Amino acid sequence: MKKQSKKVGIPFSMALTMLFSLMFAACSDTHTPSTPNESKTGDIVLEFDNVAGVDELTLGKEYTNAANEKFTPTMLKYYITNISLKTTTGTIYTVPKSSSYFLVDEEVKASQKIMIGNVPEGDYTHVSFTIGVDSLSSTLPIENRTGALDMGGLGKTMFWDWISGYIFFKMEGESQAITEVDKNFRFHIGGYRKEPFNNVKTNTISLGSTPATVREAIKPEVHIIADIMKVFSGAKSISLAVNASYMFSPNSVDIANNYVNMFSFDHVHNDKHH
Amino acid sequence: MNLQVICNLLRNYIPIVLCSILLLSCGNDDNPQTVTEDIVKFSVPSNFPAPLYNLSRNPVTPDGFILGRTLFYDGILSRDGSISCGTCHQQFAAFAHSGHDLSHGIDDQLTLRNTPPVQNLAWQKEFFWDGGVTDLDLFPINPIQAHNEMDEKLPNVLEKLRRSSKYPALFKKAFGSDTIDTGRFLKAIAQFQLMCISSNSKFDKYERGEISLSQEEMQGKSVFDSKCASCHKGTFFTDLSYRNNGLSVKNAADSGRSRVTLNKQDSYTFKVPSLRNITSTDPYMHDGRIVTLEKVLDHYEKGVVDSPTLDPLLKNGPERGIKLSSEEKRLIIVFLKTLSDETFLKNKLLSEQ
Ligand code: HEC
Ligand code: HEC
Repeated sequence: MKKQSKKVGIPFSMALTMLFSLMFAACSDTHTPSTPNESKTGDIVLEFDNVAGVDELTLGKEYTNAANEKFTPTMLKYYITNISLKTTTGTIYTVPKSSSYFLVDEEVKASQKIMIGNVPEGDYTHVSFTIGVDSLSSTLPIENRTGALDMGGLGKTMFWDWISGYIFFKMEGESQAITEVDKNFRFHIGGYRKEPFNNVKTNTISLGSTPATVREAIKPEVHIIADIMKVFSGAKSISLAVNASYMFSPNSVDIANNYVNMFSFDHVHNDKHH
Repeated sequence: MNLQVICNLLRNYIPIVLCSILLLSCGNDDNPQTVTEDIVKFSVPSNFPAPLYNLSRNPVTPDGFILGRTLFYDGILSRDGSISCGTCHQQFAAFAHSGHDLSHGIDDQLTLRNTPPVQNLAWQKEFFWDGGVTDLDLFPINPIQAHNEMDEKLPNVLEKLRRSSKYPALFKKAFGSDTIDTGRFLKAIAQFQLMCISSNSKFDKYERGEISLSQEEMQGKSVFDSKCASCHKGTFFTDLSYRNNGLSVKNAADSGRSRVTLNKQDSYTFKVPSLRNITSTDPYMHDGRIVTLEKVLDHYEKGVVDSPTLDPLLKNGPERGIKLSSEEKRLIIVFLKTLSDETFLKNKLLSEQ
């Protein structure tokens, strides 16, 4: 996986660029890619960078939420599904549903980089995704619940077995602001049915003027920031002192309405394949 | 196909009288079951509607069924190996838990509710007293992971099966390769449960026109039809709805269907249970509070407690409950006894081997 370009010093990257120019005469500059050829495909990476305000998120570290309560997150997981990409010209590429289920887990570094292959070449400016598991996917036959949806595998902690539904978003931690004896907070948000509530949310992230230029030889890496502070503020301000447990209850909608807006575009690397 | 195989085949579809004649020539019914397993096949009894379970996705095969049965009776599904599905679901009780109001799971912890029978589940879409589970395939995850039942984790169960000496071969027989994954594991257990079909009670044979009921049984049926069948409806004796039949609230924490719908109108409503094999599934009600059928009828006659969600069918002006004379109660019980299916309760195919 290409990662060095961010970290290595200028001379080395210059050397790399020179090396590339020799190796790929046709598309030597990552900033002026060839016109997309829609019959060709490439890969794209969506990297979810979990943060707490201006800080990188570190589980076990203390932060202060908008209600001025200190809290220590210990777990953060959420489903990203139904990904689609839109080009500058409005062409939409929808990732086949069955290969569009991902579980981002703060504890599993690799899970934060979602790799999508077979994307038609194009200059993509918008990324859409569902946070959660829609009703069709939530009622799949058991044999089709593989990968992130496998409750006996990757999805093992993300399923309510007493009400047959996935937990879309799970954040847990501890806070002394909690007035009860149990100082833990638990946000387990799910609910795909119409009743009693539906927390299937979608979001579209705009890349602004810096499209992700998917080419056979260019594999853009789109960095999306996911800010857990926004879980506590937004449509509704959340105070842990008032309520520290949001699970299968109507007020879970407040958390979902907040977290749908925790995602924002940060930057894109339009780097070549190695 | 030998004679015994044919005999067992016929046994499911023709009156017991005829079958017993055949059995005489089949020799000992106590013989091992291996012969019968070749004919494991899901068939819809002629007095049943079409199943709600999609069998084309998970057709029952002899080897899939055997794997499912082995899993159903194996403590390997629990954390310490002590509890199997069969611990709480006993065949002689139509796979309910005989004599237990609540059941004991691992470390002797009590379940929230009474263990219901496992029978005719292919004709249900929602499981549990509150209907929370909406796919039979997904069902086992709950008891496996419930801290007071088997207290295990599904991935661990799969890992234990992969490492075991017997399971890879059983999965290979059932599914063509020894891969053990969530889908195969759950489908096998579903296959066993799908085969828990009770369709050979006296009542079934009456419905199929194979026999007639006695005069008393018919009288009981007509009392039942007028007083009980609005909820305990049809061939399965349930309309599969959730209702409050006037039990007092004993455990406020168990609000029944409203745990799933979060709707106050569903507070303390529970699934109308089937009454098949009812003489074997005591004690009764979602918390097993009523011990005998006589007492159940006393409840309907004079024990019904009013509440905001009491079912309208149990309200009659200022009166609550169902008017029942002692003769009517006696006749209802006579009729309910025709719902017992000895063939099912003793079917060796479904027993722990
Ligand atoms: C500790 C006892 C216990 C064990 C072990 C157990 N069950 Fe149950 N089972 C129950 C109870 C209690 C209920 C009712 C729970 C409820 O409604 O909340 C139930 C309900 C069911 C139902 C729903 C039936 C219906 O009509 O809705 C099925 C199916 C079932 N169990 C199958 C299984 C399987 C398969 C296993 C093994 C993987 C298993 N059970 C293990 C006690 C147990
Ligand atoms: C208004 C609908 C309704 C009517 C009418 C009704 N029942 Fe019920 N019955 C239920 C419900 C709901 C339950 C389960 C209640 C619970 O456990 O909370 C139940 C439970 C039972 C049970 C216990 C079954 C078990 O497996 O635990 C029996 C037996 C029973 N009813 C028999 C009858 C008879 C006999 C009549 C007629 C005299 C009758 N019922 C009338 C709704 C009804």
